[in-house]
Formats: sequence, C-alpha cells, structure tokens
Amino acid sequence: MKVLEVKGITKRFEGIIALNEVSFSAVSGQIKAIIGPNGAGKTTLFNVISGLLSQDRGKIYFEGREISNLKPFARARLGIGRTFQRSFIFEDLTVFENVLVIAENVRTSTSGYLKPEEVAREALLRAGIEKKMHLKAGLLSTGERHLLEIARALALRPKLLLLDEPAAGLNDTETERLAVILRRLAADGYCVLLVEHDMKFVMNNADEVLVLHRGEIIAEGPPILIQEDERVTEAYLGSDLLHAQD
Amino acid sequence: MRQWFAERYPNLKTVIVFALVCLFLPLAVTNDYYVATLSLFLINSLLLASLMIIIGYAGQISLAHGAIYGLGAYVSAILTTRFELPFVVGFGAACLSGFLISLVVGAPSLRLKGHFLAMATLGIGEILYVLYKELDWLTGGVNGLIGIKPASIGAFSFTHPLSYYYLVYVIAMQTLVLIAFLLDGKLGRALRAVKSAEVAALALGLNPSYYKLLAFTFAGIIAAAAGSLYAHLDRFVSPSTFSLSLSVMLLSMVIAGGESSLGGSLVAAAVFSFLNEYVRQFQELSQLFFGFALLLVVIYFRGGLAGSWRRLLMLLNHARTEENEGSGS
Repeated sequence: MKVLEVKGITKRFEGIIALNEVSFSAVSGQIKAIIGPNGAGKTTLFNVISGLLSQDRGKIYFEGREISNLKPFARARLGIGRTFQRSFIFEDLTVFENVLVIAENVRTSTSGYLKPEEVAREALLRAGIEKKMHLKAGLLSTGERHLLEIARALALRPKLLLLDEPAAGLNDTETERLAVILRRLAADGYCVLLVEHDMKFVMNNADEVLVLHRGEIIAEGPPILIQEDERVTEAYLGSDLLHAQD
Repeated sequence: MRQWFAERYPNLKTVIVFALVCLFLPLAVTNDYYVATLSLFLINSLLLASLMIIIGYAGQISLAHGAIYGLGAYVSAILTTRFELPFVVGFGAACLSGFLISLVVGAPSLRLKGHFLAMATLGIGEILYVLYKELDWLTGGVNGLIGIKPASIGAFSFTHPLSYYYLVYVIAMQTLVLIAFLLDGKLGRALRAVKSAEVAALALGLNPSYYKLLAFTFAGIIAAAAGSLYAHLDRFVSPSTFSLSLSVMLLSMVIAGGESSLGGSLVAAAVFSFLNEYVRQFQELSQLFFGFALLLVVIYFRGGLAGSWRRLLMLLNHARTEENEGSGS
C-alpha cells in the first residue's frame, strides 16, 4: 500500500535550489534509503515531508490525502514520525518520559484504546532501549540517543518513519542492532524512509535506494542496481564505496 | 511507596510540605501585622509560582506579570467597592480578566522569542500601568483606590487578619495543588519537552504555541487571582505597586529561587515577603539591598536556591554512601 507520495517538490533557499522537481513514492513494509553527498538535499527533503519547511512547488500525499499545507504537528498526528540528524531528545526527562510525553499528548488514528503507558513501553521495547527507561535521557550515549529518538517516533504508532542518519556515531554492534530493529519494523508493516551516509548499512538493509544529487533524483531502485548505476558512480560514490557490502 | 510518590509527584510533595508548614505559621506570630505579612507571603507564593510556570516550564519570559497582578487587584477592587458586588464576583472577574488579557496578549506575543518577547511583554505591562494611572474616574489615578471592602462570603466578613489569612490559605493551597498536579502530569511533561527541544516536539505532534499559550493564560489567571487577594488584604491599590520594578523583581526572584523549581519559587516568595517587610525601614536602601542579594545568588548559587539545595543533598548522599562503604569494609 502506498503510504507516501511526493510529487514535483521544489525548494529554494535564497536562489539556491535545494530540491528540484523531486518525485517518488514509498510503500508500507519497505525500507527506502535516501543517499547523496553532503548538500544533496536529503535533510531538506525530510524537513519538507514532515512540514518543518514549506515547499515552493509540488505536493505531498500521505495515504492518498494531500498534506502539503498541514503544520508539522498535524502531520505527526496523521502518523508521520521522525528522528533528527542532530540529537533532539528531551534531555531533562527520563527515557520513559521522553516517549510517554508523545504517547499521552498525541493521539493518532492508530493509538486505539491503548493506555499511553502501554504505548510508551511498546515503543521502548521495539526500539530496544527499555532497559534504560528510568535513566535521565541526557545521560544516554550517542547510540542510545538514536534508539530513544526512534522509540519516541514509534510512540506515535506511525505508518511512516523518517530516520535521519540513525547509524551516525554507532559502533558495529550498535549498527547491527539498529539494522535488526529496522528490518523488524518493516516486517511489521512500517514504511521506513532513511537518510544515511553508511553505505554498507544502506546496501545491506534497504529495499530501495533513492539517490539525490544537487537537489535532483539521479537514480532510484534496488541497492544492487544502484551500485551498478554509472551516473551514481560518477556523480557521487566511487566504485569502492558502492560495493561496500562485499 | 514514599519514594515512588516523591519521584512521581515531586511538585505535589513540595506543596504538601508547604501547606503543612503554612497551616501552623500564624501560631508563631504575635500580632495582626505579622499575620497580614503571612497572608502577603501566600499571595506572593502564588505570584511567583505562576511566573515560574512561564519561565521554568514554558521557557518564556514575561515582564507583564506585575501589571496582570495589578489588573486582578483593580478589577476586584472596583467591582466590590464602586459597584458593591460581592467579593466572590470580584474575585471571579479578576480571574477572568487575567485569562482574557493573557489570551489577547499571549496569542500574538508568544510567536516572539527571547529579547523580542521580553520587549512585547514590557510594552503590555507599561500600557496597563499607564491605564491604572490615567483612568482617574475608574482607578483613582495616581492616588489609587482607598477603602476597598474586606472580603466576604455570604454574611461572613473576613475582617480579622487571621480569618483572612485562612481564606488566602485555602485559595492558595488549592491553586498550588492544581499547579503541582498539572506540572507533575502530562501538561508539565509536554511543557518541559517543548522547552527542551521545540523542533522535535513540533515534529512529533506537540503544538508548542498551544502549550505556551496555555501556560501563559494559566499563569495570568493565577496572577490576577493573587491580585484580587492582595487588594482585599491591603484595602488600598495604587499604580506604583504594579510598576515595571515589581515585574523585574518577580522575574529576579523566580530565577534566584531556581527557574524550574516550584519549591524554589515558594522559598523565594518567603525571602521576598519577609525581607521586604524588614528592609522597608531603610527606604531607598532596600532596593540596593535586594540588588546586592540577587547579585550574590546569581554569582554563588548556580541554578538558584533550588539548584544549590539539590547539590547539597547530592553531596550529603555521596558522603553518606562513602561512610557506609567505609564502615562496611
């Protein structure tokens, strides 16, 4: 089922084109990675989808409904959860409260009759950080902060998850743990959109890869095809990086 | 169980202790003047606790709080004295006026941040102050309103300072319990989340403007209610009481108490009320004294009085743990 559809999104910053006629879609149960060099427009695209930035042109549809003009909190309430490249956890709250505050204040169509505490515990469990639930969030390591951000987004019981560089700063064990968590989420029907620089992680875990270069999509398809795509090789990655999974 | 309660409801725990102390405070004083000072202390507690919500939880700043306090005082005083309406009506109207002014002012102002928000609230405070001074026919102008009637409910008039103290006590404690309950619950968590990382809160379904406005209006109602109680305590209101210097003083006291601490605000209210009464005899020098005291707190008590208290507790706990480990080995 098509969860997200982005049609002809263009975004300019004082004359500089950050996104140019970007169109793609994502379906439930899929991990779709968005890759590209620094400044390609990946995070800008996430900010436009989640509503933190408004597009200059184009439309965004979520489950068939146009959301282009909705405020960020209204989009979240429809079921779009996200994490950030720079950690934006609620430092003064405990890990449990970080997730609970979303579960108890934001009711989405999928919240059902579950108690907020149940939703929060389920989200922490899914993100694999339930053992730290009583700790102050400000005391977490980089990896744990990423997991907490995922748990917090899951507290929305979203249909679409936007993860901005979730593997950044993680060691190998933590990265593998993250991969397991994401694959499990996709298996449970979540649509996961991923911005990531770790090519090995992307090529091993994404079902589809979308390559942005200077605000434009230059390739889209399964990882195996992306690795062989000459435009991608020339424009961005270099053959060594492309075959990172070998 | 006790530990669970303290962790789950820290603000409520503080209010319960505060209520118990205040219940018996009048027994410790000998004359009516001191009882009236205690009433003023409870009123200041409400005032500082409400400003603490704006500063410590919503992460905003307000230099209009003193003027909103004044609005409550004037509304209650005018309705009960000029229009001879019952105290309950005056008090209710004062709360309503606090709500309305906070709503009208807060909705556009809270889009602003930092210095700009401070400037906007400063402007609102000054407008109200000028109105108190210039609307002679209604407010009594610079001379103020005298002969405000004592509070009464039905046939009972709270003319004796002790009876009025307990009226203020009941209202103050109910309000503080409500504040504590809200701050310890989902509203408090949402406000802390918005203050801590507004962008993340926004992208995860929390509407920061809504929560900030809620905090601003809630605090405005409490400040105006405190104003009403003040008017019927002093039986006299004048513009000079509600000038900018009061707002600046309140802001300073909240920061000195520990900007996110209800307990800190209550302690600051005690210091503010009792010291103010004591240093009053030194007239202009009293401001100098307050300024110097605030300077000391800011320099030597990081995180305000509440922050220092927390650090002291941590040190004591640490020392106790080391002592236990020492005796165990």
